[in-house]
Amino acid sequence: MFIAAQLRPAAAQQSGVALADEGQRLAALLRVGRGVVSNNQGLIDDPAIGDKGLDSQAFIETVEAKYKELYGAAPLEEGLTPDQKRLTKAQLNSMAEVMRENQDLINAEGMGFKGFIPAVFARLVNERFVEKLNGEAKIKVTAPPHLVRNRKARPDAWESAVLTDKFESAQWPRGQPFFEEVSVDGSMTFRMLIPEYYADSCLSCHGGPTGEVDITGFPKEGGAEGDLAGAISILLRK
Amino acid sequence: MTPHSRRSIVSRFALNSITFRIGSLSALLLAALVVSTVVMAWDLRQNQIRVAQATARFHHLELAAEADREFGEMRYWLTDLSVSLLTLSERRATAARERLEAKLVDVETFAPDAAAQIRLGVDAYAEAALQAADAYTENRRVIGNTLSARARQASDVVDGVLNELISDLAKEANASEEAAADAARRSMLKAVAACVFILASGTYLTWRVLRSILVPLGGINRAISNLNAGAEQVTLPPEGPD
Repeated sequence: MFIAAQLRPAAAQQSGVALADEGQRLAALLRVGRGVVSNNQGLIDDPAIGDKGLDSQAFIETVEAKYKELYGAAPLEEGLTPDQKRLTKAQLNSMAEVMRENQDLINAEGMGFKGFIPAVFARLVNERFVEKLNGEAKIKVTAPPHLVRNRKARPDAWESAVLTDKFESAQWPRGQPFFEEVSVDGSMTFRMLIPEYYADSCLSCHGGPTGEVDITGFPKEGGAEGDLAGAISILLRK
Repeated sequence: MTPHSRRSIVSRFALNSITFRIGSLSALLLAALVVSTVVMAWDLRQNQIRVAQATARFHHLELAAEADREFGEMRYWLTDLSVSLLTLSERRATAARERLEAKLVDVETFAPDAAAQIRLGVDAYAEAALQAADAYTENRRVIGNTLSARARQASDVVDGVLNELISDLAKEANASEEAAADAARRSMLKAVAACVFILASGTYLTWRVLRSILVPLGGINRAISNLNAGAEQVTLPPEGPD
């Protein structure tokens, strides 16, 4: 049973809003990291260049700069609660580790498309993030089942229900996340789903014509700009 | 036919007139033609049945081979799924399984036991393979490998049943084809032998009939020629019924 945020009692709503803010920050940082990979996709897939200059330090610096440009403050600048700081640090460290571990792939000379795309980057970062926090917090990029490409991104029952009943509904305000507290194994857990929509840059792989094989070898979904593409799922244990 | 008319025919046969000799020859040849045509038509019909049986067996073999191919495809995509974790592989495995099931419905019509065994094996294989894929998805590699081994065993069972079915059907199809070819060969030899016999006996009988007509006619011609030449003593052939 879902408890819409706007129907919560004042105290709970306050708590939910704070957690939602935390979720939004995590999602925003993930999007920025994914965007940096996307902006460097041509460089990463250039078979003529060996060292791409995209080591973990350079990558994190770019992410921080881009985040500041978009949100007015670097991810770890003052004003964060200890919890927010811990989660943000874990996320940045996850990104740094993923970039470090994939340097051989990124810098492989003579190899064009390497499969190191924003979606793969995000999945690796999210998995590392979950490991680092021992399941205390989780981030996952998911989508309606017909749009999921990797099984690891399959929505669970809660995500599936929100995607279908909320985000795919014509009445759902575009871009509005959904969050609620649910009982998981007897403890209250904050869950949040933030919808994502296809941008123009997504359509080379996810656009039309439907069924045509994209660069990754997957048939395109036939999506159009602005269509629901998926969602970032956040789970925070209280 | 009255006894009188039957006697009349018999007596006319006995008289051995030209009409009856030619008529009998024609009747005999026509009868030979009819009998040989009936025998050949019968043989052709039998051969047609054998060819149809051989074709049906080859069709069964083809269906079993297609089921084998679909199972191979399903296994390929489920194996690929364990490595790639891509939903595309899962979808293709599901599609291959659906096609396999459609083939098994056909296989069931001529090999129900094998189809049932294959179904059970496929169910066990798919269940273990998907559980393995789930385990790999959740980064539980050891249990994934264990489940993969279980899937492999189920797959071996399906392979065994399919291979045996295909082997049996191939033997049956080959035997059926050989039987049809043998029958066709026998029919051809029979037709050639009948043709030679009819030709030989027809030629002989025609020669006998013609001889029985032409020899006396030749005698009459000679007698007439001799009479015209002024001969007073000519020998005429004995008078016949004609």
